[in-house]
Order: sequence, then C-alpha cells, then structure tokens
Amino acid sequence: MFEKIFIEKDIKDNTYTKKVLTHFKDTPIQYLDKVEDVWGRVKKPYLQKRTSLNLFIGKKMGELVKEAPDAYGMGEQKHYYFIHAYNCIYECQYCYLQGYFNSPDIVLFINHDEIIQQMQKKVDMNPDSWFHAGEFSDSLALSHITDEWSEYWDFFKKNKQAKLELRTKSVNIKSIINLEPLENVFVSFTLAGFEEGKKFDLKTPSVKARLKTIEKLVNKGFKIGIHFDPIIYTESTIESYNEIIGFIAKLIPKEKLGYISIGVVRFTKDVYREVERNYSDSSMLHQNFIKSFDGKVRYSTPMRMWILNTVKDICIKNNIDENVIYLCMEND
Amino acid sequence: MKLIHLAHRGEAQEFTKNLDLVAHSEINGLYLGEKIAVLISDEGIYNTLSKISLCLGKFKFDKILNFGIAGALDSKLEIDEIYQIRTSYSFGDKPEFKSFTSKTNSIIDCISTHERVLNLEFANKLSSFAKIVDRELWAVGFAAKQANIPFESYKLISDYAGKTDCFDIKNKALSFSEKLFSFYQKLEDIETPNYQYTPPISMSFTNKARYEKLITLAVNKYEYTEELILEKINTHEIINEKIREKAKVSILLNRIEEFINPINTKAKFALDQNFSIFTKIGAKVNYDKNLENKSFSLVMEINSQTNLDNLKRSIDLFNMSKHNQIWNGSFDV
Repeated sequence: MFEKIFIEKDIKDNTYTKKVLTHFKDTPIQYLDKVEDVWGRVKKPYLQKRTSLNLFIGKKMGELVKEAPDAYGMGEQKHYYFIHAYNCIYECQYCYLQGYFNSPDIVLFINHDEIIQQMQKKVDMNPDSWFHAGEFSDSLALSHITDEWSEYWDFFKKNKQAKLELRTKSVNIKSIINLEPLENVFVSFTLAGFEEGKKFDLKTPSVKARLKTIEKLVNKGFKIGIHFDPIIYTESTIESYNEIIGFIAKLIPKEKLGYISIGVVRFTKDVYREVERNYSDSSMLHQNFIKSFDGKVRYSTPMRMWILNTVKDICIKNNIDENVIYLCMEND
Repeated sequence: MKLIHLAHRGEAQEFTKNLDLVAHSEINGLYLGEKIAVLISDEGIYNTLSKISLCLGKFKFDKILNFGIAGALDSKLEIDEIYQIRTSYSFGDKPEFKSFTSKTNSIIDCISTHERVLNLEFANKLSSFAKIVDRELWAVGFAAKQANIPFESYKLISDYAGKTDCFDIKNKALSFSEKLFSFYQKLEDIETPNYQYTPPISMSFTNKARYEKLITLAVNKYEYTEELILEKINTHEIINEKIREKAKVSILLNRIEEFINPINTKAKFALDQNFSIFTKIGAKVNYDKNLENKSFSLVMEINSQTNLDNLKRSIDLFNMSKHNQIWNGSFDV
C-alpha cells in the first residue's frame, strides 16, 4: 500500500505509531526529525498517489482545532474541524486536496491527546460546539490502522452537549462499530447518485456499499449525517437523486438522521487547474463552468440555485424534515 | 526537431558518430541534423540550463530527450539498466520546491544535485525524494517547461550513489554510450492521434473552430459520437431548411450549445422572455451571458415622445420579482 514510511524520531515509540506499524511489517521505514523536512518540500504530482504513495507519521504542532469556515455545518453553534491526518487514499475527481497540498502522501498525526485537550478548551467556552473530522482526510478510511476513535468517544461521552461529526465515504467501520452509539456523535456519509459515484468518486467504495454501511450503523443505533455535496450536473442528475434520496428516506429513521447538506460542485482556481491536469478527459470538466464572484469556478447562479432547490424539494417530497436540510451556499 | 541532451562527451560519442550531424559553428557542443540535434552541455545544472536555453532560443525544438548515466538511491534498481524518469526534483542546500514531470508510465523519479554525492548520509537524504540521482535533469525539465515543450529522460544506472568513490567514467564511457544509443534507436515515437471534426454545413474558419470546440465538449461530456450528437439535435432538419447558409450555421452552433448546457439555455430563455417587454419596444437588454451577475442594463435610442412613453410603461410593467425568481433557480426545466 505504501512505498515507504517516514516516522518522526521523537514518536517512534508512541503507542499509535507502533499500532500503525503492525499493519506494514515489510514496508521500508525512514526516520526524520520533522514530517515537514520531506513532506511538501518538493512539488510531488498528485496522481503519483496511484503508484508511489508514502506514509508519514508525526506530531501536529500549533493549532490542532480550527474554526470552520462559513456554510460549514448547520445551526447557530460554533463549528470547528480538527486535524488528525492529511490526504486521502481515495481519488475523487473533484477533491480539493489535489490543489491544496504539495504532496499526495498521507500524514497521520498521533497526538490525539493534545487535540482533545484543545477541544476541551473550546467546549469550556462554548459547550454545544461541533467538531468535524475529515476536513483534510477521510475520517474512517484508515481508521482500522490508526484506531483513535475510542479516545474521542470518551471525550464526547463526558461532554454531552458537544457534537462530533466523522465525515467519510468509507465502509471501514471496524474501529467504531463496537463503540457505544452516542447521541452527540454523527457518522456522516458523502453520497451521490449511483452512476455519478462510479464516474467521479474513483477508488472509493460504491454508493451501494456506502448505503449498506449506513444500514449497519443505523441498526446499531448510530446517528447519521448525509452530504449531497458536491452535486455534479449530468443528464440524469435528477433521476439519480430521486433514487438515492428515496433509499435514504427509507433507510434512516427520522430520529437517526441528524442532517442533510446539499451543495453544488465548485473549485478554487488552483484546484480547477489541477483537476484539468489530472482528469482532463473527465466528463465533469466539459460543462459551462464560470469564474464566480469569489474567484471560484462553478456553475452559473440560476443553475446552481436550480440544482440546490430541486434536490431540496426531492428530500421534502420524501418526507425528510425540512429543518434537517441545509444548503451549502457560501454567501451566494 | 528533437533535441537530444547528454552531459558528457563520452556518453554522447555514439550519438554524434552514428547520427548524421554537423557541429554548430557558434554553440560549442551542439550538433545539428535535419530532424534531430544533439547537445553536450557539460556536467551540472547551470551548464545544462544555460546551454539548453541558448539552443531553445536559437532553434525551434518540439521535444527534449535526455540520456545519461546516473546513480541509484534504491538498492532495488539494477546497475547497467536503463530507466525512464517520471518526475525530476532538485537538491542544492535544500530541496528545490519546483519539480518537472514528463508523460510516462514509469514510476521512477530522479533528483538532480548541485554537488556529486560522495557519502551515504547525503544519499540517504536524497532517497526521501527519488530513486535516482543525477546532475542535470532538473535543468532539462526547467528549460522544457519554459519553452512549453515536453521532455523525456532515460537514465543508465552506473553505480549506487554514496557507496562508490568517484569511479572512472572515462574507461566506461564507450560502453555507456553504446547502451544509451542502442536504447535510443529502439525508442518508438508514439504520436497522439489528432481527431478532427468536420461540420455538416460549410462555415467560416472562426465558426469551424467554434464547431470543433463545441463538438469536442459534447463528445467528452456525453461520450457520444459526433454523428449521434448531430442526429440528436436534428441536424438534417437545419440542413433542409430554406434559409441562408449563415443562418443555418448559427442555428447549428446554438443547438449544440443548448445540448451541452440545457439548464443555462432554459434560464436564458426565461430571462429573455421576461425582458421581451423591453425588446418589443426596441430597447436592448444587456446582461451577463455567463449568468453570474444578476444586474442588467437597458439601452434605447429615444427620438420621440412615443419612445419615451413606451419605455416608461415597460419599466412600470417589468416583472422584477420574476427576474429574481429566475436567478433563484425557479424556471421550468
């Protein structure tokens, strides 16, 4: 899976480091002072993740829990994301990570105790804060290797008003399925239509497999969040979302569905350039994107409003409570 | 014309001997042929960058091919084997951020250093970034990028970097050069097929370019053939219409555009309908055709009281809330 593993010298005996290494006994290891000595020092092309992916294990310094941008999550509460990893093993064609970091190599941070300490400080100020995992990586894709979530569970058991969101496209729930389902922890899945998922979410579990995983979690009593974001317009978008929303409405009982977010595909200029370079023949690119008011590349205003409202209407027609739906609008 | 670059005269000897080339009178190390040129730059990033840039400034090259010997930083690579390079990195006092990638399926990267690698500690440091080390490739990539042309690189492994003292390249030069030249001869040039679309109606050069652009977009978006797209937009109907050729071209291009982006077309249609209260009285409505900026402007030549009254009435009757609804995504699709 990984060509080489780079480990910071100071944490080579850390429990999490050792746990990760048990999964990669034959992978060559190189020790370094800091992850940043190698990771991101040179521009490593994104698609080299297919053939030459390295793993870095280190300790994240500085701000570990950051305030989330606007349009992130629902409600009036404070929203934060925390950084426990960089990069992802999946390859979604629209993923902003391809233009965000200078390397596709995976970084795992092992100082979860320090992340939790910083979370506690935020909760002391705003007890009902939200904490999102999965901003710079998929929160569950490698969780059988990293096995950190039980530590976070303890925190959220104690701080019942605070909420945790694990954002994922993974079906890898091994590390959480036997944890006690908590009312304030949401496992949230990014979904698209079955065909769109196949076309644009490369190397991810299929949408069908994600639905099965949702079913398993619901049966165990977990609370679920759904992200229909980013929606990419194709000829069959509306049929696809009719189909998938129908499934969701049947699959998730009202009391278990925390929220549904709806957003339309958009890119920063840099990410769009990378997408063009990496997936030049993707049908996603052959659409009339425009440079928008904030410099982002997206569909025209009426088109994105039409998509957002149409998908929202489909949710409502399927008896999904309007109050759990929020639109990712970014100050449109 | 292709430019073959090698650093050392010894490595290049089989190339200059066997290819039909003439030494250039002004640029030392440049040999010119009809379709190919060979440049011997001497060792190092600066020599390479300055010499290649000089050549690219004087002649039109469409590709640079770099050949040369290099050291392995990974014990799995074999001595005397030739590897194609994927990405080129550089290391001076520290790693250089810029990297240059050539189009290849190879998964071997190369890092170019300012100094020779004389100890294992340095070799280990470099191995974090690449499996092969040389002294020139990064400069080749840099120059190619500046000239907006592709490059390819093939490296013959001469030794394991940091493990051998400065070995005697002169004694092995001929054998290295023979291997590299024989490899070059086997290289096949695979040209990318150039797809051309032919419009079903004769049109101007500019419209033909637009047609090709639109058809390419539609083919890539829907994965249909050109024929199927033309069938879906009822091209035969346009061809058989009794109108001027210019009008047919305009309808054809508009239909393809609508086919690519049906929602924007519907939104524009709804806006135009709402604006018809102005256009009917001869006013021109200008709005952002990208549909990003909601505002619009009205232009009307006024030469009578009637014009002015018509405009006043139209402004009073204009349905601004309908306009806002369209921008909010409410239009029939």
